[in-house]
Amino acid sequence: MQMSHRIQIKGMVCQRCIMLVKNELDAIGAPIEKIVLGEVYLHRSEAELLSEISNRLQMLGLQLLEDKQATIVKSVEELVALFYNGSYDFPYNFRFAKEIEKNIGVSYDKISSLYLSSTGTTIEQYIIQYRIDRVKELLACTQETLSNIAYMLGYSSVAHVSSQFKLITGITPSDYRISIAQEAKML
Amino acid sequence: MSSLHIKNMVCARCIRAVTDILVEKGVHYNNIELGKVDLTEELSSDQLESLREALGSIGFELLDDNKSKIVEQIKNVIVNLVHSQNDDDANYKISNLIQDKVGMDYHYLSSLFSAVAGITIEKYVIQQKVERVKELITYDEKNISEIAYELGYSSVQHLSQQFKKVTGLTPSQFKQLNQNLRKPLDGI
Repeated sequence: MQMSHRIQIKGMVCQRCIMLVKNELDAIGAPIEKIVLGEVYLHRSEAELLSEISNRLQMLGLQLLEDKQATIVKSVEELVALFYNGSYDFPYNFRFAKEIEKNIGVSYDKISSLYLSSTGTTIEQYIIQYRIDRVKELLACTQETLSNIAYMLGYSSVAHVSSQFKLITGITPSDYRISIAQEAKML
Repeated sequence: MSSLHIKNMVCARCIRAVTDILVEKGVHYNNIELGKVDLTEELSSDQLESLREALGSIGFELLDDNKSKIVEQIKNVIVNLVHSQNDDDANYKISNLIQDKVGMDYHYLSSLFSAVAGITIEKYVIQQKVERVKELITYDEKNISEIAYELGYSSVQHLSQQFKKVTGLTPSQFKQLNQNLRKPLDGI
């Protein structure tokens, strides 16, 4: 028996939608099992085929639901990079969840569960990892003190960045800086 | 200038499908919208018949009767309001909106609609909204309270009750069931 792959399409509402989607998919030789409102079942679903389908649907004013999710994941990561690259001026009572809701226009609950289901990590984990990577970079490449680094990356205190750094990397920030300096000497 | 009135158009794909037919039949038009095509020339009766047949083959219907045209116009206003996020119209009362767009008294339109369509305008609106709720639930991008807000329900309870009355399921049961129970909008 053949496997059946379900793809979800956003915007289909009537019989003509089904008809036009079928025409477009037939035109590119997609192996259709069946089409209903909002869903197409395919016998195969390689990335290449899907991106071609996505293009065809766009011409009809429709959208693959996966595309929408991928867009949200991408904007979350772009916002993380914007806020935590070290040069963002954090306003008083900055809340990441609020900013992200404002930018994407979907509730944080939804964004967060969607991010988790498509990437396998939570947004919080992603942010922690991103910030620790930035801390490492700043420790290694600049002379900034840890308290400055904490400030630049929006940590509430030096203690907070220290303990998080230790938790993720296994060593303290100052040990990390020393080990990098020694490595550089040996080279 | 004459225009064609077409039954069952509900979305951009319908407009596209009608456009394809008009082009294929060599009919010249200067505007096409849900339910209506403005022609630049009169059609011969042969042309009209072949058009009628082509439209019929994909589930449309060419309307001749004046009352049906008005009813279809009302349906178009409702479908537009419920299914396209148009913030300008969101705060309108639906009766005012229909009265403005059709240009006739609402009481008259309301009784005409009931007589021709066999369902009241209010019920038709509810069914369209419920269909939109189903659609939004399957996308899983918004929670019920966001959906309720977007569709102008006063509360989640109100939406849930109305949804259950029409479908027999609560929105969360519908979501859990995860079966495709959506209906084509033109079938409502």
